[in-house]
Amino acid sequence: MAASIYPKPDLVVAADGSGDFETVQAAVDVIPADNAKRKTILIKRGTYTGRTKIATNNITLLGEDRHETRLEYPIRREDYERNRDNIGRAVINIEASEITIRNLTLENTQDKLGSQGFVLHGATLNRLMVRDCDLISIGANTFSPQNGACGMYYVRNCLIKGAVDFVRVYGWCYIEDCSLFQFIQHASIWHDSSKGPDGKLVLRNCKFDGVKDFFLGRRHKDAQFYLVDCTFSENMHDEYIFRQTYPFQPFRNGPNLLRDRQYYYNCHRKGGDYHWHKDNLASAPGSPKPEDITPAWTFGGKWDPLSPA
Amino acid sequence: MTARPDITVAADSTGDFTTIQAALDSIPEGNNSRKTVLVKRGSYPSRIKITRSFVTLLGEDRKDTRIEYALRSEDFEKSPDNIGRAVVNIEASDVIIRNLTIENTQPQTGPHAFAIHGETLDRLIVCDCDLLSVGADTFAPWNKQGMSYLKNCSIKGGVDFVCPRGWCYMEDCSLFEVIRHAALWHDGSGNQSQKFVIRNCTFDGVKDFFLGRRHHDAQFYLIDCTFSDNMSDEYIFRQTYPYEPLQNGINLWGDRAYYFNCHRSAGDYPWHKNNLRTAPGSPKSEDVTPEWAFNGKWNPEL
Repeated sequence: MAASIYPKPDLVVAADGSGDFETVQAAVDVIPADNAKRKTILIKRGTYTGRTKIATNNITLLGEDRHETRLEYPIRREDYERNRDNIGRAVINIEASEITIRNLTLENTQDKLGSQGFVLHGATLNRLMVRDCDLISIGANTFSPQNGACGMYYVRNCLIKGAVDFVRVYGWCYIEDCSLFQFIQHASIWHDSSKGPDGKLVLRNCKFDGVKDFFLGRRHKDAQFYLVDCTFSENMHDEYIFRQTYPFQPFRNGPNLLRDRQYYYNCHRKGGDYHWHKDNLASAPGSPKPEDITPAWTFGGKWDPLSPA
Repeated sequence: MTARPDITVAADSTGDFTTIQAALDSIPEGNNSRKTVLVKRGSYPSRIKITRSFVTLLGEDRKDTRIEYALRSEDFEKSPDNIGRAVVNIEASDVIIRNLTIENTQPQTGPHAFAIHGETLDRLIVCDCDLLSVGADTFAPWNKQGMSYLKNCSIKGGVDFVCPRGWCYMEDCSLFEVIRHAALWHDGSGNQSQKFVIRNCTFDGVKDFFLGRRHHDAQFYLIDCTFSDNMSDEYIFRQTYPYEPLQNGINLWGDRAYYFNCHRSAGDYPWHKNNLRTAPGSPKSEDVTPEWAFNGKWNPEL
């Protein structure tokens, strides 16, 4: 196997009892709270049914096989809210920095289409990296990093599926080489920069697909989107990333001080482009060129997830 | 105001007719010269339908000549008839309504309750009138290719209570919003030049009322308007649907709302600062006349 490209694991989890632990949570829990050095937890092939909470920094969860290492759990937001606990609403709940999730599948197996069914969530997480993973839900809010004040997240080579706002990001996020699939006629990506106007959601070289008349995205509050080298399937509806307003309670409309901020470069739809995703990157603040749109630029120089250090 | 009436309506039987509808029905189909129907002081509790062109309804007294009726649109939909959903239903051209009060007296705040409505009307003039409802869509000229003109009116309603489609020019009017919702609404999706001009109007309402919204492409020009403190800090927003985004209306031309010299008493909001020169053709304030708004096709100020 290709284990050689990955760091040697510090801990091994195996559902069949052949590792140090049988559950991911048990392995995470042995790492001291003040952990300062990266600890890699190798998760062997198998299905791990449960929610996990990571509250310790500098942890890597590394699956043995992207498709056969499965962390899954059925949980709907509505049920969680009735009976909250300190684990969280998602299959994996992260309240820590410098967490890497790699080479595995995370699935919220709740079966109600469109109901909020988080796969990954955290309100205080930062410098999160998710690579080579499948993040699957048929509900809303699949990928939900929610640290709006300062959170930075990097996602690469993932498959992300969900129903509404299933890439739902507060703060700063760079997503590249990913495939997104939308199960209902609703918005795929969502962003909120209301706690930091420089926050942005960047998608580069990503593919969008879904059911007929799925929507690219929406926002409730101020937000900022950059899409570079993305492709849209024919099923995408002819609607730009729209601001959600409330038909019966306009007083619920979110802050909109900065209006629409959505910038496109070289984005195309199979079957013909829509007018609203033509190149306009030069109109973004600072008139960036497409090659300027890097993770380091996205994170304002505060983090470069691609640097070897 | 000085035109001699052709027909007089008086509830107390001192005129040619006791109901407005009877007077209207006496005007021949195909009428092509101005016919003035004077409506004497009194309350006329009914809906009316105007299907003759070049008709003027002239009230004897703005406050004491009252056409009133209680009708929610939802109730009309349950048993529709050929009069229509509004107190005054207009399916004709070159109609003038002047110096009277039209009120939809249904009491519930919010639901659709039209005072004036029509889908084929064109070149409609309403001046010196009170148009009242506590429901939605008080003034609703809904010909998607039509023109309408409002002057010196007082208009009250719940949601979208001045809601023209096509081209509309409104001046010297005062508006009052009875709930926390949008006062203005426009549908200009029929043609990129369609616009709704609002000049020298005053806006007031309950605390945190909203200036306006749109479901479709629209174009607003607000010149010399004043907003009360109660107006909330929200620009004329596009309405979208939280659960069914497929219902979102057409939005080819983006936000088009242009302001000049519009002020709120307790302090301006950033979104209504002067931006008129960013409008197509960079018009000056004085260029924004009815004739300009109607692309030279109609000048109602004769």
